[in-house]
Amino acid sequence: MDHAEVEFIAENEKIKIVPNFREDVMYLICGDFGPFTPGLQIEVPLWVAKMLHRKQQCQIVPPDWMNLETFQRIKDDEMRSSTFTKLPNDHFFEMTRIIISVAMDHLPQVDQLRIIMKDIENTRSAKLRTSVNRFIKAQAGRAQVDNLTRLEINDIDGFLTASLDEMYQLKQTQQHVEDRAAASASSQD
Amino acid sequence: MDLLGMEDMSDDGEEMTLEQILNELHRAWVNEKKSPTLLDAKPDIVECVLEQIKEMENNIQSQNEFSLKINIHQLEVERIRFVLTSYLRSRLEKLQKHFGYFLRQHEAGITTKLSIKELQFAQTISTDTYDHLDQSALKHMPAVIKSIDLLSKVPPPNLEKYVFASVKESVDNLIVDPETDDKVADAIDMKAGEQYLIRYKLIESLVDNGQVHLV
Repeated sequence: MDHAEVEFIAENEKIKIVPNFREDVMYLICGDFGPFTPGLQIEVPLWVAKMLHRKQQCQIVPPDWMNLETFQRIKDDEMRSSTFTKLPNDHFFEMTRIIISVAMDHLPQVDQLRIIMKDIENTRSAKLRTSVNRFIKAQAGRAQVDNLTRLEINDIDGFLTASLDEMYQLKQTQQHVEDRAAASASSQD
Repeated sequence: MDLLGMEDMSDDGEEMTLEQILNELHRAWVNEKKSPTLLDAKPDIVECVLEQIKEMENNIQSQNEFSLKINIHQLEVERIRFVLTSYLRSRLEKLQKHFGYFLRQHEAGITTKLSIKELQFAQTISTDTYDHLDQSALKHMPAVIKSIDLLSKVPPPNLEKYVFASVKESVDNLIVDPETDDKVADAIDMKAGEQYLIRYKLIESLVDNGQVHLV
């Protein structure tokens, strides 16, 4: 799955907007949205919000968790904890990126938000690298990866799983050889 | 002006809203992309979604004016169409690579994996491949080699592949690999909300019945 497809999935998340046009309820296949009244907040899927914003028909309202204090707290939690903390949203990175890119003009302190998000991303990515290292050295059969977002999983998926598959094949072969050696050794007794 | 009203569609005897059907399609899409083998075919969901798209497209065509509302409906149709085609294409790719395995599985009685058209597709590939091998090589070889069992020679999917899985419903006593050198299999409990990196074979049945989703 490539990055664009992960972002595609994130675009189904609901987000609040303030439309500047008037329209009746829209009966989309994925749900009903509206009616649209200028100045009144309503919730729509992120892909609708993106399109409306591109046509300058709405303002996107950042989610409650998208502010400096929350981001700073997440970053501190992440640096303190040795495991992955639970982020406020399953699509934290995708949504933050999209909203920053479309709402640049009326989102306060956009640059600082982006920097803190990058820090959070880097911290988690470093933790991921160390735990993958540990995992492979320990030759473990499985790992628990709670609180990893889909985006992060997708980034290491191809490479990590292919490597683990190879390692498993090698282990199986080694096991097979050992079993046969043990069998022939015991049959000689 | 309402382009499409909400309807309750029956699926396996349960009432499902359109939104639920779309969610099912999305989940099936991701599961299919990440799984090394074919999951159960979902002809009802595919048919229903296809119908909805066609109906919506007809409504859009008949409107003629270009309004914001139409654009949004159009974008939604394109998005759904993308997921649907990606889902079907992902299945076809796996079917094409491992047609022997899936045909044998079907003959052995496991008939939920292939839709009717997919079964025909697999049978066509099988016949065509055999004919091609026959025409280009087998014909000119000694008779003893001619009795090749094609289906068993096609490489099966790699069920030992590692995948990322998210637990939707708690699972008790799942048999997994031993962690230490003991060779005795372990059993673990997986709680809803947890995520694991694990070999596909160990959770294959859980993915099939929806207790676990692939990520």
